[in-house]
Amino acid sequence: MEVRYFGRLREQLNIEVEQVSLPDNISDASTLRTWLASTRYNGTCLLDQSVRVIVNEEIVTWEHTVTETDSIAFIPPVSGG
Amino acid sequence: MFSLLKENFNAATELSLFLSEADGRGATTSFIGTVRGKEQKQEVNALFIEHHPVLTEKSIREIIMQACNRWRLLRYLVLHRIGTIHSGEDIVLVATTATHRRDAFEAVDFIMDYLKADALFWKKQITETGAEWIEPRAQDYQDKKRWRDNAGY
Repeated sequence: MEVRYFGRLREQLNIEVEQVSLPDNISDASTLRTWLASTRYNGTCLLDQSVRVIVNEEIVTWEHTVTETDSIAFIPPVSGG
Repeated sequence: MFSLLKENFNAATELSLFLSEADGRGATTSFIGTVRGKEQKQEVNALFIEHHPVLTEKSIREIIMQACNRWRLLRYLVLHRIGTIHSGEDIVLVATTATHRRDAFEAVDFIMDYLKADALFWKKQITETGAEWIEPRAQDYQDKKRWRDNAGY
């Protein structure tokens, strides 16, 4: 699984993109987030309420199922224009 | 037309080209957003705008489509910079043409409010003393909400 981080999350984690082997007990975006937060340096930034998740180029809810072949991205609040 | 641009653009040239191709118009409105040289008494050197390789463009096209569905537009132009934008350079240009002025005015206002709230960009302000990510303000969400409150406008 490919996991990308954007904006301040990328800087806080010091990771732009990583290849992750999904543990057997992780099946949705929420448990993936919790696992990454507990295993990455500064990972608690992922638990911020404002963080959203993208699965295969679509913004989804935290209940969304994730699998080994998915492309995941974690994003902080957007600020465009 | 809509484009994400890595390089600086000349807003006057782009507007001139847009107008030359906008036959039959009765009204034109444009907005240009520029990197301010000062923010809360701090000198701003540049903004860095990060984007998503697929979803940023998709999110902006959806905003433009909403505007086209809501107002009678003849043409539109949306240019938005990505990457590093120095103080004094333009970030965004939005222009519309319509038969009547209200459509042109409101569509530009709507597109800008939605760009601020919904377009997938992450902005970092670089000053002489450091850099910080800019989070959306409550006012940005309020600006967007007024279009839902005035849905029948």
